[in-house]
Amino acid sequence: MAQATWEKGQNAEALRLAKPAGGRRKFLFGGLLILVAIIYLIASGTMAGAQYFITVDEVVNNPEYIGQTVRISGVVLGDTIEYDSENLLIDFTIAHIPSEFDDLATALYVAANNPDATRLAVHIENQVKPDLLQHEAQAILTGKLGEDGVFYATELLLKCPSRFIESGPDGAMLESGA
Amino acid sequence: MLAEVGFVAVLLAFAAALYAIVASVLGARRHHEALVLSARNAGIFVFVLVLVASVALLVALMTEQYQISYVWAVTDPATPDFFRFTALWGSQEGSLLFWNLIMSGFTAAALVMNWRSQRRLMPYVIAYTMATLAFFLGLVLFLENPFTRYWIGPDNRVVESVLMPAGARAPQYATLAQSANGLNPLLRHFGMIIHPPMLYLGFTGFVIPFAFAMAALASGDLSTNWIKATRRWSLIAWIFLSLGLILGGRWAYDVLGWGGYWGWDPVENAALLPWLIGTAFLHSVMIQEKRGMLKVWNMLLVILTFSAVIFGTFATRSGLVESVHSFAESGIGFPMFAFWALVTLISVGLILWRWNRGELRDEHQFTSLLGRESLFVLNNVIFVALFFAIFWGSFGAPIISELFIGVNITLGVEYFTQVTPPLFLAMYVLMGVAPLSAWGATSLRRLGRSLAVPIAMTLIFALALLLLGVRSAGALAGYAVVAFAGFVALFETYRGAKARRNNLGESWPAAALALFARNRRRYGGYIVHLGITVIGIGVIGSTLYQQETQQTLAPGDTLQLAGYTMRYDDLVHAIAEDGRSMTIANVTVSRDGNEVARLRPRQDLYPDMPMTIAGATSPFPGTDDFYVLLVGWNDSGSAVTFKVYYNPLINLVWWGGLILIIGTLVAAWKDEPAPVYARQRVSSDGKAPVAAA
Repeated sequence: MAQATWEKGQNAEALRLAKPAGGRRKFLFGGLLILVAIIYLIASGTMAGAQYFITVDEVVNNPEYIGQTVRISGVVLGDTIEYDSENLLIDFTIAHIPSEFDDLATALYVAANNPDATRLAVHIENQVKPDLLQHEAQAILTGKLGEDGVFYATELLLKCPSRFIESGPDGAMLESGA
Repeated sequence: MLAEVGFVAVLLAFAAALYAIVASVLGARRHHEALVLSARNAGIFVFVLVLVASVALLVALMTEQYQISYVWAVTDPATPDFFRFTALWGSQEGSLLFWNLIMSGFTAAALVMNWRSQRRLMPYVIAYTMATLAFFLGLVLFLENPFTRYWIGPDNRVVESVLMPAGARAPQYATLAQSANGLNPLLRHFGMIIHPPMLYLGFTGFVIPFAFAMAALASGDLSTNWIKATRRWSLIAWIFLSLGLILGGRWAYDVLGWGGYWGWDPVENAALLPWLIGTAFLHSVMIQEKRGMLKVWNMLLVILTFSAVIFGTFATRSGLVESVHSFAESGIGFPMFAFWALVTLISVGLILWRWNRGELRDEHQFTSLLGRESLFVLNNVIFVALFFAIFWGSFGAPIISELFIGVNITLGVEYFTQVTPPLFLAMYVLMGVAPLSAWGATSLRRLGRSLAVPIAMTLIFALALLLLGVRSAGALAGYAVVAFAGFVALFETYRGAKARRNNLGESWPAAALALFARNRRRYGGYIVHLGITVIGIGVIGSTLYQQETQQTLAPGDTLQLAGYTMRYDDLVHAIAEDGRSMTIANVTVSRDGNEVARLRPRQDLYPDMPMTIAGATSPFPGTDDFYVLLVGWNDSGSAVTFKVYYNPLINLVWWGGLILIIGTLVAAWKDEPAPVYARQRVSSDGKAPVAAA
């Protein structure tokens, strides 16, 4: 009861406080202020967090990317993976993924088996070896290209299209003569 | 046989949905009641048919029908029955069918439960829900069919089709079983079993408020009828979406092995977006109900919520974003994008049409900056700002930069950790202040008086934290702001119970129970606020004070972290029932010489799969968590490497989630009618009892 009584009293007060003419300007000004604050917040965050998402070709062939935080995508070459589980260090090499294939699995296969594709050594510290770090996986890395030509990654995302997505029973069935 | 049954059922469901659209619209225009009734029955029948198709696929999964390509792709002979069941939503095709099952279930329930009370809106509700269902059924039928089977063609190549092509033969069962794929190991987790269905229930549930809002616009019944009809549906969808988000976080925490639960991944964000706008909607409809204001805004919010649902589905399923959570790249990207654009355009167009005709005018004007409606609007602005900030960071910046400057610019985690905290803190402040303000207008002095006790409680809380050793100004401010919202919820509940106790002489428990029974919406809302407070404290603690270490230990060696001692005991290898080989480290955690827990972090290696799952353990019933990952070992187990995290207050995130769900259930439950004497008092002296306030 106290609640409703209290609100009722306030409703009466509302009539006294209501000033529609001056109020509109007040609301517009307040709204504008909030809008500017939100836009500033998003713009400053964008400046701080923006990273170019580029290819291996682009990062290797453009010296201006040295020392700049970028995101790159490349195919993992399985036989180059070295994992130091004691110190949690991972080293591997990625190759440039060509853009002319619509099908990611084919693009990854071609890239991993093309000896002329641009390659880039990657080094990651303090990272447990992810389950999906394997041959022909697509690696999306965030980090900086060092002066020594090694990409020092701080974040690693992997996609492995071959195992759970693209594969069908073709090979197995044909091999068994079914 | 199962493939044929499933396929035909989906085909008939698609046809029934199309029929329901035509019949409902014609019925409404010609005022032909029998036609509308027939459309409703067709709408309900769609659910029955999709249920038949889903059961057919489930039976195929359980009985190992590997000729069906979906069964082959997501199970193998070693898959336990439990995971055969959950494989129904383990990949794109099955999960789309499951999505249809849930959406058609919601629709059928709404058509039955709201049929009598909302006859004017119903034809259009049928049309909108069935159009959405027809689209998703079309995807299952034409692009992502889970009932296609493998056949050996005349040229000895494998072909995939529902019906046997001419000259083809069925492959040998044994060969198919032997080569079957099996469920992605990442999905073999308790959280993954419940997380997708919860998220789907949340996503698809919002189709009902959306359809009612569109029906209101189409029919011209722009009263609060559509809001009254959909309040509970919105809350139900919101509960499931909240549960889906919490369980998804728990899955990431347990399985992904990085010591956290939220990585600002685009797909995680895609699920958060409808939750944010849905939450704004749940608050702003109160203003329309109480004051007849924000009619256009509410329509926009419900459209934006549904639009975010469709966009989130599109982003997750189209391969648009790179994420650990996303499905593979698929052909449904363009149709889904087109559907999203069409739905949004039609909806906004309808609003503009009604607005132009002057039918969406508000009944009251804003009068005071401190009035409850103003503060609710501000709360909405914060939610919408969070929505746009997260949308921009996840999708906007990459897409816009690619389109206009030809370079793909993505925004890293730094963007989200810089932009969202101030907005979330503003949300907590408003969560505390808005419920204490009055409808219409209130003075700063009066509002200040209401806030005095919660502010005093907050100051005492902050002082206690300072004495306990929290020295960071940012952390203190964060804890205080978040706790303030919780103190308001607790204090208001106490005030309500005290008023009942004083006026009616009830005991404290009786007064509190009666308070929740008579005004579930208000006090359920306070429980939700309390849950959000508990989550906020957990997030601040686990984010700002997480500690980690990594060490290689020999048996008997110990490591120290955050006052805890972890001793490595031994390493064992075992084979699980489903064939995976497990490497398990036994470790003992103690504090001040007393054993606290024995943990068994492990890695699982699945047969023929170069994939391991890192195991983590949450041992304590308290608020903190000692999270151990087994990351490397030698064959003899004499040198084992661990990565260990100490996550303070992290369990509050899960507990807060539980409180939030309980609060939402209380708010969604139907209010008990006020007793006769109370109603009489309201009419005689003009004052309502607390419970009816």
